Amino acid sequence: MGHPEAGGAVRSERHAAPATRGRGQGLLALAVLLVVVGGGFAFQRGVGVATPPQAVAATSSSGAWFCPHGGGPKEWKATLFLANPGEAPVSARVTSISARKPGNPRDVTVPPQATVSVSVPAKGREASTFVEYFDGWVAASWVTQGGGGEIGVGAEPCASATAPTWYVSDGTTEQGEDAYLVVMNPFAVDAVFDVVLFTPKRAPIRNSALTDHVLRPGKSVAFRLNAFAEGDPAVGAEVEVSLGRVAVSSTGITRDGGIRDVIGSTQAGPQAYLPVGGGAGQSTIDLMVPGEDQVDFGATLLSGGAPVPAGGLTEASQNPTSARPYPVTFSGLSSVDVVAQADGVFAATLRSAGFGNDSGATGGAAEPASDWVVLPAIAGEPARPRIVLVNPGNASLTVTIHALLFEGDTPTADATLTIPGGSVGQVPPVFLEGLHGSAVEIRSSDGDILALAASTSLGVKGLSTYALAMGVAVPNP
Amino acid sequence: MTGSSTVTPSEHAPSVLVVLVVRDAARWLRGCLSALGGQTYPRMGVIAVDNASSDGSRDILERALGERRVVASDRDHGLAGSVRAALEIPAAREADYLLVLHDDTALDPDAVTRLVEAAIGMRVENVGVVGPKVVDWDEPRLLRDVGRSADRFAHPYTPLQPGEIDQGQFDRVIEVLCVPTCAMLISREAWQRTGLFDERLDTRHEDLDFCWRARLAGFHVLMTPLARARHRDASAAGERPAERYRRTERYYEERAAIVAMLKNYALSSLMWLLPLAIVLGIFRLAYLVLTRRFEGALDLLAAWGWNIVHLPGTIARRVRAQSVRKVPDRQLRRFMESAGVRLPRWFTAAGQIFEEQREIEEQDEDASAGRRLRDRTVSLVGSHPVVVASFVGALVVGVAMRGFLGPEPLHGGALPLFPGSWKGFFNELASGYRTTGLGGPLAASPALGAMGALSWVTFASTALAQKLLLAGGPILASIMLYRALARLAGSPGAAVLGAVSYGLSAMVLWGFSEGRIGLMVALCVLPTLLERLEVAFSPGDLPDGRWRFIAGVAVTLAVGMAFMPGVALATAVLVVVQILFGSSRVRGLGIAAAAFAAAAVLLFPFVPTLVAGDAVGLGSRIGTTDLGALGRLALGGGPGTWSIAAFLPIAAVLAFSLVGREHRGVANRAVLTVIAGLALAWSSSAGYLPVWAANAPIYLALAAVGEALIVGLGLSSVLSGLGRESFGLRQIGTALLAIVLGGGIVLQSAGAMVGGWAVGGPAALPPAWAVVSSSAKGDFRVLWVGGDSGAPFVAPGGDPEGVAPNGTSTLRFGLTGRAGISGVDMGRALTGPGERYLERALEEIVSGSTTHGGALLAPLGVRFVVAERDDLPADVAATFGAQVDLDREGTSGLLIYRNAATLPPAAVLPADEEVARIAGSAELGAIEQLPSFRPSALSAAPGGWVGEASAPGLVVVSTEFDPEWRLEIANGGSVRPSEAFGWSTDFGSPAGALRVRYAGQWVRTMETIVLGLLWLAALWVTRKPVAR
Repeated sequence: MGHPEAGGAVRSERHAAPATRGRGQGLLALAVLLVVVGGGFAFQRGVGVATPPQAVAATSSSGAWFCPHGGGPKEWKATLFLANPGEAPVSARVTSISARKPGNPRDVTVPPQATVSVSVPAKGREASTFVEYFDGWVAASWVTQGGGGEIGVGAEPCASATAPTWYVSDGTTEQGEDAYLVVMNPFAVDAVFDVVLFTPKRAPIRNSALTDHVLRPGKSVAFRLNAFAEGDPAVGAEVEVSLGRVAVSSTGITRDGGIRDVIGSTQAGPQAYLPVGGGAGQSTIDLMVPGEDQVDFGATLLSGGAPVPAGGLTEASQNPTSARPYPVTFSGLSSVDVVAQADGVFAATLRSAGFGNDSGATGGAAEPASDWVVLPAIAGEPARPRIVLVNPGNASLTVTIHALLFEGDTPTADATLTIPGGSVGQVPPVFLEGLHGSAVEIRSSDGDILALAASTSLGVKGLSTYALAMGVAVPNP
Repeated sequence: MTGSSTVTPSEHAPSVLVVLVVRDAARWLRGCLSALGGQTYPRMGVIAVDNASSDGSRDILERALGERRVVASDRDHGLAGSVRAALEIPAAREADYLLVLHDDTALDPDAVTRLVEAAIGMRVENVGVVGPKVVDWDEPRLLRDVGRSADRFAHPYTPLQPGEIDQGQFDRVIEVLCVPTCAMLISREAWQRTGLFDERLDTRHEDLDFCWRARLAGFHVLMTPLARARHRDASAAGERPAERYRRTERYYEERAAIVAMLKNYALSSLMWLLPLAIVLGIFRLAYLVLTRRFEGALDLLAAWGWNIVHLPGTIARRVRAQSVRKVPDRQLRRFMESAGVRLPRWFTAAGQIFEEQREIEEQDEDASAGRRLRDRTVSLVGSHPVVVASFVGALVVGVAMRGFLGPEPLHGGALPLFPGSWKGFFNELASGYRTTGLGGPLAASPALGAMGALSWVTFASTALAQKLLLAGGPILASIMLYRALARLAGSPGAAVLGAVSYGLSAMVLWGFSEGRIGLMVALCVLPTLLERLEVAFSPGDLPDGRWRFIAGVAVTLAVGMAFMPGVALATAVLVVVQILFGSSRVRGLGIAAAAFAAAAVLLFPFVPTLVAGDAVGLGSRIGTTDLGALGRLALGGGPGTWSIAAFLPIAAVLAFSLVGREHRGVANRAVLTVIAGLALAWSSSAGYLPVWAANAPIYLALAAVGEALIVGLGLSSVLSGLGRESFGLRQIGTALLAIVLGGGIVLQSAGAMVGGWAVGGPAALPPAWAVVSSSAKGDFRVLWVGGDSGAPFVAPGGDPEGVAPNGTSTLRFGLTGRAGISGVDMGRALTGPGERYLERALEEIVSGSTTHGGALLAPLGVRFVVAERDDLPADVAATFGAQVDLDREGTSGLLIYRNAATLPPAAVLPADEEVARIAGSAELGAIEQLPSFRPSALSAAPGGWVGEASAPGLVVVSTEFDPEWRLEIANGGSVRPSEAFGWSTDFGSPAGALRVRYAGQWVRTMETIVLGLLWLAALWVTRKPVAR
């Protein structure tokens, strides 16, 4: 720049001679324009916007489990199992939720590599428990034991999160069967939700009692589905939350004996893995199609041998907005892999009969994982705990089995097990012999698996009650 | 002078005693005496009263009149005292008429005759006072006085224009309210009934009061043009060697006006006029203060003060005046003007403009209508650009701001909420701790003093002050740019167009639309700073002297920084441009450095606030990397930010090509300023500048100032020289510039008039905000979050104050009180250990590692987390949704999470070991275990909080830890604080009444006093001089 006149005083410039024609001033203006516009675009394209830095490593770790375990008469018992696979103690706060005001929180510390149990209230069908944990991660599940004339054991892992929609498909309201939907709201604001029931043949049931239901903060509620859909072999429920947050499960009670618990799933998907074992073999797959399109699906049975169609379900189809039972029979350790074709989505539950007068049920898992914590599904001694391991892949997997000891259980050395591809195995029973309340961590280093607790307990030789409970996939760090 | 004489020179003519009042008048006294000696009136005597003259006036008098006719005084008695002294001579009291005469007045030979003739021979009964036509001593063509009236508040009003020539336009005997005492004929009956002059008033302001009293007593006051007097007005001209008046004309006039009102109005008139006068006086005072005419303001105050002190004397004189009243006030109103006596002058000026237009029309009678219109428009705009711009501007502003007229306060945009009372500003200014944000010791901006004062002036209405500040922003910004351009370019027309283009730039309109008061102030001060620095770095003399110049720049800079600290960055850019391309670099740099230092002194308690947290307060997190938006100086939406806003940069390029040699230096530096502003604005938005230097709004404002300046300079060159050049590219360029500028101004004006501003009534707030605003009583804070977009939060969240980095899911956040951003936080950023805690907590939440974000936010007093639905990245929204203690409220439009674990900003927590352990920890892993409470909240009170603990507990105050906090308990004891949650304050508390008090208040109180004195001194140094 450095124009000689630039140095002139402002006021002397003002009184300077009249403007003279500035040769080249136009060219200079053009150059300025080109520099500004061109430079701007060049910078924008060449340099771009700076990438913001990543967050520093988190210093806290906390989470929550929602356990809508349900209950019954006052003789019912419910036990929460909390297992800590980590290396540091984890503190937990346990709050029971019911139709009344929430119970006082109880603080529990879960030692590292250990399992603890907490007895929680189970009076009332709506009985639920809210677990918060801090300084680490724990897995949580429940075991309920009937009483007051209701016999059986139910077990299921707690839900780790809430969602705007829940699906439960384990209901049956045939004669002698009672189906309950348990909804818990441990939060500080109202939850408002609708419940839609699906049956094999009827149109979706939307009852005013199930519409815009307001669940107050810190309370839970149970709906007896028989009141809305009596006599149906399969009753699925979709819970649509319009305000607030809830967690949902189903409790099935067979009047002649038998209790089943299934935690709801937060999404309908195109695939479900439904492991099973330790029971009598007679099973039913309850499939619920909440969408508006028919779902074509097939089911494959994995067991010790080659995969085969399960229950003849190769090219089956199910009407939209319906729930249907599909009987399947197998022996020993198995897993049913239900896969929908095209874009179909469904929710599925597997009900299976035990050796005694009880049955179990599980919602399975939508996908396998490499690391599982399988929590106990036994209600007492004697017991025959079993853990079913499914390798849905094609290659063999080697898993490490590690006990997270419950106080008083006998320490057991870690074990390893190889499961061929596309087959089902189990944790060696001998490994579980001294473990009465311990959770087991199953870790695969070379692929993903599924893990299920399928146990019988109480009665003669521990075969009286039967419960299925999926393991809890350990989240990635 | 055609009137026939009715007073014959005989012994029956009334006797006239001339009372000549003299003081230090040797230079002109002979002229006065000579004129007296030449009078043709037969029965006239003269008594001169010398008021301690020291220049030989007394000798002159004694030589001319003889010792017997000279009353010598050893001190100055003024006019009233002089007349009184003259009348102490028994013979003098017998005269039929007194002629009060100043020593600097020379009467025409027949003047006394004509005066007496008017008094007795005009068929008007009861003529008490007569005055002559007064003309200039040296230039008798110039009229000085033809009798006066007054407005309702007793301010004298003359029908004469300054410099008005005597063309016989007042040559008729007229009845007036008063005539001047330079030559005033008073009948004996009149002065005996009404009393003499009020000796408390000075010589130049006692005429109105006296004549008014005469009128009340039923006497007529006449001005006869047949009598003529030449008046030197030596006192006003400062020709007397020792002027005794130390104050300004305004003071004496105001003082006399109030006296006249109080004495002469009937009680019924006074009852409504006096309150009105007081209100108007307050307005005048505010105007004088705001325009830094402090001496004028002091004079006004002193005049009122004098009247209060002298009220007993005024009342006594009022009793006398009213006791002889014969005439009601309503009969005198025809001799008075309305309060808006200046309005007729404006109409007169308008009339002159129309007359000019009419003449042009007559000249163009043969031309077509289109041509006539064009010629008239060109003539009007060319001759009176400021008048035309003001008129059109008032129209545009009136329409554009029609929504501001209602009584309801403004909401919306980034408009800060003003406190309910003007005291709120001063309380915060003087508070030892920050009552907003997360507390801490950082002082409030001195801007609060200005806002508080403005609120007080506007009838103690902060809402009105808020509207005035905002509405005045674009207008004042345009005026300031006009002034800067007029000084730099010297062409009013070009300056007007530059100012209009600036006022209609996207930057100004966006700032206005968003209610950004700080930015509006910055837009006002930047033109002045640019112009001052141009002068500082130029080799010429500094106006007003170096120190006053530096003080002026410092005050401007300090005002800007007080409202928007980023003004310092813009000023630094201007200085760098001048250092690189200016001329007197050493001097300029010295001035700039001194101005910065002085500004720092003027802001001294605020300086730690500015530099705290790596000087984050200088920066702004608002910005955009959209080149199109930056190019048209638009940082967001709103009227006038559309593509038409590109008219200013386009016009600037065209204007730059037309800049003549005389402005080229300034224009080149302006271009560099624009380029620097745009580049820095982009760099700020793109994340390449450190937080303290990143401030896209201020850099873009600087670019706007530069572009408008270039437009003005180019137009100035064009207007001054284009007509003398042959047709060529410059003419084409000029035509293009005219089209771009004209089209841009018209369309931007239309956009401003029809567009909907972001600020407005309550509807400017999103409906979902009611969830928060209607929440339960009690104090709480609101956390605003959104993606790292550079956009402000939805109203009333204001601007983001920090970011929680997390790669592409980086979160920007802001923290406000329950009502939104606060006006008492003007220029004050959220920084300190509390802010760092907040940032850590948010990082923790966003990372997904915790589901107890509510507990992490609880120590901050956060009850609600608010985000705009589309503004929050989906994964971040999911992490917030996963927090077990943050519950979504069912709203549309906004994502509102209610914190179930919230704590009030000040509360008593149960005395629990676990709670004490958590509160004593700085680890987030521990704090997230904070259980839900129903704590008893403490109420905010002056200097802290008060409340009661029903049982021993832990008092937790969500304000930055400071050892000066004390918990005062019922037994009179005091508990020292400990640090809670790693940043805030807690106390172990017994049961009973509690008071949390800041013990370090005295330091801030002293600072505030010193600050006030410093500003008074600075404003006094830079005051507008007044003529004495």
